[in-house]
Formats: sequence, C-alpha cells, structure tokens
Amino acid sequence: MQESIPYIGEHIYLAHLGQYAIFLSFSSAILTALSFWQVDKPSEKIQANNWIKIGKIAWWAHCLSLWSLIGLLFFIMIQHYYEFHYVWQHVSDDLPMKYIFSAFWEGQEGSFLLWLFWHAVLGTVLLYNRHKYKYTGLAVLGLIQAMILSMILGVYVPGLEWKIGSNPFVFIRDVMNIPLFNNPNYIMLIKGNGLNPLLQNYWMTIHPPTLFLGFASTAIPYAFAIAGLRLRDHKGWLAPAFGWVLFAGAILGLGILMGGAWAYEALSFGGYWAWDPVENMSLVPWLILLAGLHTHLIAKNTPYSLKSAYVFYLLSFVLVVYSTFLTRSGVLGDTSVHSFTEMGLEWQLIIFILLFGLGAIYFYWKNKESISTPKEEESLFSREFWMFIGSMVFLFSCLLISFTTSIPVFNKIISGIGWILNTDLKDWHRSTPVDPVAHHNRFQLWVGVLLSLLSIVAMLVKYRMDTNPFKNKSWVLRIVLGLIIAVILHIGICYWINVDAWQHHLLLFSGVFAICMHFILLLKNFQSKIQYLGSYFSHIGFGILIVGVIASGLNKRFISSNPFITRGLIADQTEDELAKNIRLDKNMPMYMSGFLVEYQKDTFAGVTRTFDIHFKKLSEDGEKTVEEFTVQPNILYSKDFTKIAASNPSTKHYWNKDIFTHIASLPTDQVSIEEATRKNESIVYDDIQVSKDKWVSYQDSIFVKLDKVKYDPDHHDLNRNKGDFGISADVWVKFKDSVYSHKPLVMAKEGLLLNMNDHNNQIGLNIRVNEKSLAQILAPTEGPNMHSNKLRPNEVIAWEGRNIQFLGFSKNITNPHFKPNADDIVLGANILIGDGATKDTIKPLYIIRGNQPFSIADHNFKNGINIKLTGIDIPSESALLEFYPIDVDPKEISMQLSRVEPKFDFVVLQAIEFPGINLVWAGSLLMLFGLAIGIFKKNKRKNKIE
Amino acid sequence: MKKVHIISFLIIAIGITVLISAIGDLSKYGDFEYASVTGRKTKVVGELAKDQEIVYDPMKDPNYFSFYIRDENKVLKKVIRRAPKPQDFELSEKIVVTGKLVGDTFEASDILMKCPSKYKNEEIATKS
Repeated sequence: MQESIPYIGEHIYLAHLGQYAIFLSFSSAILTALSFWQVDKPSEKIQANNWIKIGKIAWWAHCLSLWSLIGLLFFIMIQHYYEFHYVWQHVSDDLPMKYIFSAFWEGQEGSFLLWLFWHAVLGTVLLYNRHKYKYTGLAVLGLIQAMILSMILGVYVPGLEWKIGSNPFVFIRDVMNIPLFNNPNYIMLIKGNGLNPLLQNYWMTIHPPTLFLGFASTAIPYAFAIAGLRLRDHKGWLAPAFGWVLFAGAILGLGILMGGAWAYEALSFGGYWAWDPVENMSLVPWLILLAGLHTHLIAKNTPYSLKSAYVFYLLSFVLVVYSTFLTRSGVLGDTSVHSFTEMGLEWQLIIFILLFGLGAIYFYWKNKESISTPKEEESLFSREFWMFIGSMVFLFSCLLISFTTSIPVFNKIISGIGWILNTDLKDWHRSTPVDPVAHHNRFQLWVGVLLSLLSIVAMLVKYRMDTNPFKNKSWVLRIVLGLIIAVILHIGICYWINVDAWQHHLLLFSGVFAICMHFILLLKNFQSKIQYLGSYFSHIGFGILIVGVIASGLNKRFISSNPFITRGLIADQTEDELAKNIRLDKNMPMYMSGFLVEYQKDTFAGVTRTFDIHFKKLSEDGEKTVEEFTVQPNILYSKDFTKIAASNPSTKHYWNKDIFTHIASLPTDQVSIEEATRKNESIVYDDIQVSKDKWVSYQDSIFVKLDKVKYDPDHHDLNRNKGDFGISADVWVKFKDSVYSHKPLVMAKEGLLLNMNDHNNQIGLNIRVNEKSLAQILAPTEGPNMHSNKLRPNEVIAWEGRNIQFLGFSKNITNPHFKPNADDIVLGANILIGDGATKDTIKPLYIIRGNQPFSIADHNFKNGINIKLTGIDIPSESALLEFYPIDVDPKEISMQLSRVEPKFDFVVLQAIEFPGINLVWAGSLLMLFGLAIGIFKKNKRKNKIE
Repeated sequence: MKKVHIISFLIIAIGITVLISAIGDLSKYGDFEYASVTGRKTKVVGELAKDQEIVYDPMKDPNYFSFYIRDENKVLKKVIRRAPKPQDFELSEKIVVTGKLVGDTFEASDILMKCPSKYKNEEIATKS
C-alpha cells in the first residue's frame, strides 16, 4: 500500500548502502572463517599459503565493511535522518552532539556493532601477531563475527514467519503502520525520540566501550584454546596467549568497575553493587577468566592444570555469550532493572550459545587424550597445588552466582518441559531471592575469605617446591611478622568502623592479612622489575577491596533522618525503617545526624534544576562551626516540563568517607505539570494599580509601591532567547513592620505570554504583573502622542531627537511571535532607528489574512518607540507608519495580587554516608594495575626471543 | 585419589550443600494467598489498581507511600512502602513487590516496575 506513495526526502540509497555493508561484512566474515580454517588442515598443507591470502583479504573486507557501516550509522544519526527507525529512536534535535556516542550504543543494534567493532580491532592485531595459532584463532573469530552480524542482518526467511536479526537501517515506516505515513512529506513532521535523560552523562560514553572491549577480549583466549586443542599443541599457545589474557582481565575488570562507579556516582541506587542479574553476568565471565589466568600460570610453570586452563578459557567466552542472551532476550523481565526489551532474537542467541558451547565441548573431548598429565600429584608445599584450589574457589563462586541468576531461565525450561509433557509445571517455578544482596553476600563472604588466604599460601611457596618450608626460620618469621601487623591493623580498623558478626571479623582479617603478607613479599622481591610484581599488587588490591567493601557496606548509614521528628508518625515502625528520607523545607535549617542541614536555593538551567543543600557541623557546645559544605544534587525535567525524568545525586568526598545525597522527591505540584496548573488556576487575583508615588493598600494590611519597571528582565526559570521581550515590575511590599522586594515579570516568548508570579511565604501573597500591562507599556498602539507618517523607501525623518529611516519592504519574515498561515500575505517594513551613535533595526508587519488586514507592531525600548505599519501606498511605494512613544520609566503599572495559603517549597532528601568507599576504588584499581603491568612483562620476554 | 581431587570434590560438595540451603531463599513466585499462608517474605507479581488511590504526601511523611495492586488471582491488596514514590509510577502496568503481609496490608521492601516500552508503536511525536 505504502509503496505507491512517492515519499519526499528519504535517503533510500543510504539504507541500501547500509544493507549491502552488512551483507558484505557478514559474508566476508564467513569466508574468513572458512579460509583460515583450511590453513591448519593437514590435507591442505600445500595450499596453506593461498588460504592465508584469501583469509587476509576476506578479513580486511570484513573489517572495512564493518567499519564503514558503523560510520554510516553514525552519519545518519549526526544528520538526524529520522526516516530511519534507529535514528528516530535514539536521537533528537536537541540532543547535544557529545551524547551521539551514547545514543549510538543505547539500542541493541548499536551495542552489537560496538562489540563487533572491538572484535575487528583485536582480530586485526592478532592477524599481525607472529605465531601459528592465529589462523585457527581468526577462523574462530570470523565465525563469532558472523554470528553477531546475523543479529543485525534483518532478513526474512522466505516461507517462514521468521526474521533473522534486526537491521539498524530499516525505515520507520517499515516498522510502524500509522496514518502519518500516508503523507508523502512525513519526514518534515516527525521529531526524534532522543536519548533517555538517565543515560545523558559521561558514564554512558565511557562505560559501554570499555565493557564491550572487555567482553570482546575474552574471545581471544577462547580462540587460542580452540587452536591449541585442534593443533594438539597444548603448551605452545600458553606464552603468546598470556598477554591477551592479562589484557582481557584488566579491561573487563575496568568495565565492571566503571559500571559500579556509574551506579554509585550518577544513579540514585545508593550503592556500587546490587547483585543485579546484569552485574552478575558480567562478573562471572571475569572471575572464570581469572581462574583461567591462574591455571594458565600453573601450566606455564609446571606440567599441571593444562586441562583446567582450557576449560576456563572456553567457558569464559561462552559465559559472555550467555550473559548477552540473559540481558537481551527479555528472559530477565521480572528480575532486573537493566534488561533490554525483547526483540525476537532469543532463538538466535540460543543458537549462538549452543554453537560455541558445543563446539568447545567437541574440540575438548576429541583432543583431551593428547593432553599429558603427570602421574605424580602436586606437592602440598607447592604453589601449583594452592593456586589450583584457588581457581576451584573462583569456579565455585561463579556456580553459585550463575545458579541464582539463571532462575528465570530454569523457569522457562520448566515451562518448556511442561509444554512437551502437556502439563502445567508452574508450581515448579521459583522466584529469585527476595533479598539478593543478603543472599549473595552470605556465600560470597566465604569466597572472599578463601581467596585471600589461598593467595597468601600460594605466594609463600614456590612452583614445584617439595620441601617443608616450616624448617626455614626466616620463612616462618615472615608469617609471624605478617600476622602481628595484621592483628594490629585489624584492631585499629575496628576502632574506625563497626564490625559486629564473627563472619565479618573473619573476612576483614583475611583481607588485612592478605594486604600485610603480600606487602612483605613485595618488599622482599623489590629488586625485581616492576612488571614481575603484578601479582603482589593485584593481591594487595584484593585485600584493600575487601576492607573497603566491609567498611562501606556494613557501615553504610542513612544520615538523612531525624528520629525525634519522625518517630511516632507511623504506627508500628521499627527503628530500622525509621525515615531514610527527610523533608527539608526551603530556608529552614534542620538537624540530622549531627549536621545542621539547609535547603538554601534552587536554580534552573534548561531542564536541569539544581538544589543547593548546605551541611554544617557544629562543635559539641553548638557554638562553633567545625566544618561546612554544600552539595548540589539536581533533577532533570522532561523536555516539556511535564514530569521529572532523572534525579542526579551529588556526593561530598572525604579521604576516608563519602556523603552521598540525592533528591528523592519534591512537592507534588513540582513533580507533575497537571498538579501545578490545577493549583495555579484555582487562584483568584485582584487587579490593583501600583504607583511609584504612594503606597497602595491591599486588603487593609498590605501596602504595595512600585520601585521600577525593567525592560530586560531575567528569571531563573526562563531562558531568554533572541526576540523574546518582557517587563518586570520591581515592587516593595510592606506588611506589619517588614518590607519585602518582589520582581514578578511577564514575557512574550515565541508568541506565548508567560506570566511568572512572585510569592511571599511570610505574608502568603502571590503577586504578578497584569498581562495587559505588557502591551500597554511596551507596545502602545493608542494614545495622544501618536505620530503618523508616510515614508518613501530610504526616506529619513527626525523624531524626538532620533533619525528614523524606512529602508524598504521585505517579504522575508522571521518574527518569533508570528506564525504565518499558508495563504497569508505578509509584508514587513525594515526600519532603522539611530541617535547618531547606535543603530537598531525593527520590522513591523502588515498582514492580510482572508481579506482582513491587520498589523503587528514592533518596538525598540532603548529608543522608546513602537512602530505600527498600517498600510502601503502602492503608487509611491511608501509605508504608512504610526509612531508611538514608549514611556521608559512609567509611574504606574497594573498588577494583580492574591492572598494564598503559605506555599511550602521543600525537597525530600536522602543522604547516605559511605565510610571507606575510596578503599573499594583504590583496591579495585590496584588489582587491575597488577594485571596490566604483566602485559609488558610478556612483551619484553617475547622481544628477547625474537 | 589425588589430594587435588579430594579437595575439588569437597568444594563441589560444599557448593551443593550451600545451594540446597539456599533453596529457602528462593520462594515460589507468590500471590497474596501464598504470602498470607506462609507469612514469609514473598515476591508478588501484580497489576497496579488504577481505580484505587495512590497516596504519597511528602508534607505529611516523606517515607510513606501506598497504593493497591491486584495479584494474578485478581486479589486486591493495599501495599505500603516506607520510601518516596518512584518516578513514573502511575505509568507502570506490571509491578513486582517484595515484602510481607502484615494484617491486611502488604509491607513492601522493594518495588520493581515494568513500564510499557518507551517506543510504543503508533506514538510518534510530531513537530508542532
């Protein structure tokens, strides 16, 4: 039906170009996989060089088409081509250019492209590595790319009601079927949806690329493992893969950490880790990768643990795909705040998992016999023994996390079995834990204890050591020293933070002990190059992280409470539930948890409303101020100011703690526009003429006097654009013995009249400018001082000491206060006003609408004149003009007053104290630093060999 | 048997024990009846009753929010939560509340809202 409509302005060729690029990228990825796979086939030895050539060309074709299709998508987004569904969904005219990246990967298709992009970059680096595993590795990578590209293929299988992938270059009219698309010129009418305001921050710019680079880099160890198995060269790949693994570990860890920092810094979750399914499923592949890294080290240095290293690396990537499945298939629907909406990709994602899962199992099973395992077992005094146990603890931790997170999947499987058996198995369904944080922490606490202690033991002994180290006196002394320092530190920490349960003491001690022992070992080995000390740094970092988690998690404290006020308001309230949020009335300081807190002011900038919340801590006697600071949480209104779109926290950072605040709620009339208009409309105003010369009384007790009328008013709720004009009446209000100053204003903005009233809380008075005053004062079109003229083009006339020149007529009309109809006849008169020093142009309009003429005057208040174009004398091409002087300092103005209930402006504030939060960040970063410096160690060694 | 194997089996055994002990955390996807019979903390999936009142008045108490939901058996119950009202609450269709029944009201410790997709078909904002 729609095909017959000749649409205007669609970029069909770009849609085709994008589609071709996807096809080319997809098919060349398959060709890459096929050709590089042939290279290592024994039967193809002679042809190997040719296959390499084809594979390289195919890989470059794949990369170039992929990168150009990414570039193309960026291009249509930057150009705001709204006929494309993806552009319309994620971009809008008012979206700042700095968020274009965020908008790009906000949607599923864009984030798949981001993932593909990193694979292409990593694969290209791999292509120029010098080792024999890269060909099979790139074949695997090519297949991965083809699988991901199939998610954006957008092809209908003929005969089946099945779509493969979702194409980002599809037109909006192909997705929706609405009457709008009967209009050939529909593109002119639609505007973009834009980026969710919650995602409009720099975290959304940096977190996804880092996380996806991390995800992408787990594919490389997978590819190495497949290559090692296939070539049955089980030791050779360990050296070249090692740097890649460290890289993957550091980047994926950084990506996860950024996610936590984002949740903490910019979202109002009130924490950095919530055991949300999406967080869990990015953590699990990382933990498995670390288990792989540890077994990898064993396999490099001893004959043990090779099989485990294979399994862990294969598992890590499969888990990344599984995590993609969980977050993108909609299966998590009821359990996660993050999950994407369904896009019908479930089955494709399941095929993706099965292909790479079963493929891994196949190659492992087929070749595992050829992996040599030593007959004799590891010595109890050897590092390999304890490190292996540690890897098992990683696995154990992941099993627990994955099991709970996968409950929605199990429910689906149970339903599936029920469908096969034709019975309702809904009774077997289980929900995820009602308190996921308590659930996971209860188990992961032991993982933390075990990992810290095992890391100590493993680092105290050496690879392949067989002698009892307890006979070595200095060895024993080191441990005793570490224990003593750890006990002292532990006691010290308990003075700082509150540790209650013995389990928490145990975890804290294991963390502190790990810091001490690894630090002692670090000092002992300090003469080594820094690249060789990565493991000490990482393990110290892990210990610090544990201390930070205990400090900030156990001792997280809601300080936004004032139990004396809130107690008793709610029946049956337990101490714990008492007020996590506090109501702060504007300019009314309030005590909370030792602080005197005041909501001082709020300021508008665009749609952002920022609140200044002042904290003051007083000395014991309450006389001196010990410290004070101001936090500035803000809220974002939606574009049309109808509701609150996001609430951004503000945090005061100390070296040893953070105070985190955010606006939890506002008065109802500030939350929704309907409520606000209902309130405003119910107010009845009385007209009153306010004068400069005398106090005018209102309701006997209130007296008002005009101070001055201003012509270029500013208001914190308004952005004044070019062409807007208005007046503010600065008035004095006297009530009892107090005098108050008020500055209500009225402004013409794009044809709308905005009346911003002012409010006096003490008196309960609303005061505003009568809307009629704006025209009367600023643009008078009647009065005795009118001066009518007939001016020919370029004729100059003197008026009140000014030269007024009529330049000529123009049909090019841009007046923000006038919206022309299609068949209007509009004429503007260009007029120049000068007093010798300056010159201003104004343009009054003459309009004929349906045989009815009317005028729109234009004014210039600097020169005190309003000019109306009343007609045209056609024979002489003259303009008929009327000049009206503007009183630049009026003595009187009509205003409107109303008595109201005192209006309360307040915020509902949540404030949380996080002690030791910096230890979480510092520990995590140190851990990742330890991984990262190892990458350079590997390169050095490789350089020596070559 | 190698030591490594023994320890691995030990860890696996502990893992299984832990998982079994954790089954208690994993309640059935509940309705109000289940919550009232067991008296346990439950997750109830329901629909916001838009015909009933939604109360949040920060002037009175910023930590009191109440509304009504119908669970999957169409049982209507009042839910209260000691926290401010989440944004866009009225727009939500499906709501998952976690908490306990106290008398006849459901005391929620957590609310998860499922809002209709932002990109609902047939809703294209046009330029004015």
